[in-house]
Amino acid sequence: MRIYRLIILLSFALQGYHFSVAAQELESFLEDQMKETTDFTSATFKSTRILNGHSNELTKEGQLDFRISHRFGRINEGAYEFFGLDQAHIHLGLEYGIKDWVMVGIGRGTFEKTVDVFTKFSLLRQSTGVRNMPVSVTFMSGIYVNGLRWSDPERENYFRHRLSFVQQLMVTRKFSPGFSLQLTPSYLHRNFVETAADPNDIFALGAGSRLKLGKRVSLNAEYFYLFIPDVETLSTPIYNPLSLGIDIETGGHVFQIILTNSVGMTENAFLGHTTGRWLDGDIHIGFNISRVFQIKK
Amino acid sequence: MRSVIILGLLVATATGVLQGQGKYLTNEGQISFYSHTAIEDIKADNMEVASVLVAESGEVAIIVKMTEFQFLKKTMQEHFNENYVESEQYPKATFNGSITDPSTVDYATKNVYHVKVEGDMTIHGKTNRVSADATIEVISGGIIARTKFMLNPEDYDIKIPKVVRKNISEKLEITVELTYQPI
Repeated sequence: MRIYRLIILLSFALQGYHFSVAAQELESFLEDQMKETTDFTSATFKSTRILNGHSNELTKEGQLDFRISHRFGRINEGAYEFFGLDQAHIHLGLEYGIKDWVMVGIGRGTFEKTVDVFTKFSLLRQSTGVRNMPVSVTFMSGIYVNGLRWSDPERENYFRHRLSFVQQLMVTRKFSPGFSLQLTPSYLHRNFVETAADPNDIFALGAGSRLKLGKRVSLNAEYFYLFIPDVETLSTPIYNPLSLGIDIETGGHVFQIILTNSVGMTENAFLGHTTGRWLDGDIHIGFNISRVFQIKK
Repeated sequence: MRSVIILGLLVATATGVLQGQGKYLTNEGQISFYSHTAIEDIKADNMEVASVLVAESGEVAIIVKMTEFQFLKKTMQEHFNENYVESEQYPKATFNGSITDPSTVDYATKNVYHVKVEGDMTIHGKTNRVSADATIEVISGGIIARTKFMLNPEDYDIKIPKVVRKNISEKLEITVELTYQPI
């Protein structure tokens, strides 16, 4: 008898349960019916540059990015030079996304009157879901053409002496919506150097990060460690470039305000010619402006 | 006698829980939103909307993956996900509700039926009670549910910064078209 009553009660309880959870049940039923997808991480960095160097981000397909970058003189030049603001180095760039995974760019910089061209490929994208990938991997290859008049016109000078090459791998992980980290193994090759004491090849390991301070503002840092045994033996000692900056994003613009010990804004310059030291006050104020235009509809 | 009643109750419970008939499903529903201002028109389409509709009770559930909204300008899509709807934190928008008078629709007869849908809509982690007029068109091998309504992003704590206030209209026009198949 008791057993029967229990079964009847249980039966009613189950029916009641069935009706009360109907709404949630329907949603979870729907969840089960949904296709499993892969979610790719986006906006690891806000711009194609962390500050001086490349980030894992590419200009998206059909978009043209017009970039204007400035680095002023050294802060420690004092009031007479208006803390460096009397001098300006500029870099102008036009960059285009051929596909979401490949972009090209061309630029012209004040430093050694250099024209640079580069291409950047997205090899792996961080993702979760069906396809799980902990990091994004991006490859950048650049060619830099020194445009200065020959220092010694009497010497036999070849065009190839003007060329430097940089290969970089960007290994990136967005740990949270507010924090991203990148490691950047880099290789600079210069066809021609000032003296025999200067290396043609420089290897470097870069690290860069983005820490979001607000929805549209982030604090970026970037450092490259140069594998050079003894910088004092070089014709001009060079140091590890360190840059700190704030990223501000408004609509199609990204504005970056920067403090750095490198006046050069391209890889060949900041890996091979950073002659300033932070501790000596050789700090340059600078900014990057990026304006993106949708070309292909 | 008693055992027959009990058996009956048990069967009723079991069928109630396991019932699969009378449900309609889609994984490729479409939801678009449109914003018009003097400066700019913004449109985004999501073609991967999942929804289930129970014919008898009129219950509807909709799940929308926010990252599936496709914009013409991909930068805009990134901003939408990162700064507005915060997709990493709130990947899905949902609707849980029902057709207020499910008996108006005769799922066996091809026709267009006008109905009212009411329920809880959750976007950006915020839930609001909403209602809208909709149509249900019974076609061969399925049904098409359509609705159009206005949505104010502020109701879902989606803030529009002042700089772009003139580019985004106060209210967005949402168009929904769900083509269901019976399961």
